[in-house]
Amino acid sequence: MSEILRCQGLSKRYGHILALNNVDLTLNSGRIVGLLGPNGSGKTTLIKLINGLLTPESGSVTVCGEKIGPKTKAVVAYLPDNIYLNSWMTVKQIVSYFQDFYEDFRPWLAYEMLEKLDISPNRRLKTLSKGNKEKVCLILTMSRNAKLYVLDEPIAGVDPAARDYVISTIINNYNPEATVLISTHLISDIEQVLDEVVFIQNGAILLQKTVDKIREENGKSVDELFREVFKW
Amino acid sequence: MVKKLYKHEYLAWLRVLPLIYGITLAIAALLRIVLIFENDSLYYGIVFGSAVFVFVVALMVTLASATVFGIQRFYKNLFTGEGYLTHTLPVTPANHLWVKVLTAVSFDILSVLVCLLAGVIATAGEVFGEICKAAEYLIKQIPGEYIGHAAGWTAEVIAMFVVAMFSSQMLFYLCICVGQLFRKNRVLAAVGVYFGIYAISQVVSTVLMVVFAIMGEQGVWDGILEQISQHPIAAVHIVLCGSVVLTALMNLVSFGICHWIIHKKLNLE
Repeated sequence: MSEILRCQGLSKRYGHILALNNVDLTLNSGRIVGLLGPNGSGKTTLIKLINGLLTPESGSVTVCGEKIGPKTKAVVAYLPDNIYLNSWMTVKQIVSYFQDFYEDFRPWLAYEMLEKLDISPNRRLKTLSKGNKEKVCLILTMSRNAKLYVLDEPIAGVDPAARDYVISTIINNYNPEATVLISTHLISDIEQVLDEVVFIQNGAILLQKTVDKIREENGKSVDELFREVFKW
Repeated sequence: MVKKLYKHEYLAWLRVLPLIYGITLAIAALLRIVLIFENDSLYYGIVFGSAVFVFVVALMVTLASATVFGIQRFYKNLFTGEGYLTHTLPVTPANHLWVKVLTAVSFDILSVLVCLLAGVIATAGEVFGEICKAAEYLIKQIPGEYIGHAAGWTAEVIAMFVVAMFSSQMLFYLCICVGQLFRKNRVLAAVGVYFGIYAISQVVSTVLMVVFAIMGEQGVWDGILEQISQHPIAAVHIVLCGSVVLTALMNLVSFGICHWIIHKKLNLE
């Protein structure tokens, strides 16, 4: 297992609010990691920093030993928590866009998944339902053969049946040598696929453990431990 | 990778601009058709006046279209939801900036060419012939000693025209980027930055004019004015080339600031 992500002394402030406070985090390859925390705990901020969408106040982020830049962006597949694609584009155009920019993109896989969902590649994104738009975003992300997948709230706001689709899409399509970082607060839905969890609260890492260790040492499921740690 | 950025940038522009160009050229053709039926009736006068008005509006829209679309595309593609994809592409901020500004300037030039073509269409036939004759007459009025420099001046004017296009685009990009340094109301901040830059440039130019005028009264410029009167052709070349270099330098400064903000201060909250 090689190191894929390292955050050192990472801090981020929004005005007077400290969103991330001196975060140290290391993730190794070949793991599915849950980034778990209540709303406003700093999950999205950490993810945006990993993707270079925010500038940290202090600290550093490296992916595969490289500072955030074109080289890391070529190996990180990111799914934001909002729909970020150009709505005027057709699905086919978006697939072609990903194919042009990401060398690890597998168009055949994208078309295969689109066909299974009965989404025509010729449809414009703006004509799709919100749920289908989210699925297209997920398909595009998971069609990459990336080294690090960063998925921000992929199951938030979707119905239970769609959650199963999202989880199975992640499990069936990610590169097994890669790391998948999934941010969510819906633990019970995702727990069965996680190898490791990171608890985050008020911008600080509270815990980083494997799921097996949590069960072994705490005698609890991740969901139970989460409820205990983040109890109001 | 940069070629692919250009490809997708041009595709986005080609979705909108050709439609505007097509409408402008169609209006020009319509105006030319109206001219065929020229007569002294009041009805014709109203139709002709309306056609000319629509044509002028179309020309103005065409000339402004590249700048307006360039601003909208720059902001939307880099600093709204689309930025999540744009900034996670494996390319550098400099690549993004160059592609945005060069595409906008190329469409700025295309817009001017479309307007010229629309002018040719609207005046095709006798009127265009008259315009050509008038232009020929004006060219003949140029003293012989200046004719030899016409090619150089034309190149300098074209260069000035192109750097001015870069300048207008870069100014807006600079305002948008500086606006991103604010925590809230970033669009409003960008508008504020625009007026701030305008106000500062006005103050600086006024101060410089006053200073130069005082220096002129003290005879500081006498030597230079004498040189200009002795070598007017060289003076025009120096002024044109100097303007090109100065504007290009200002563009580079704007580009540098935009690059620094996108590279070091990006905050897509």
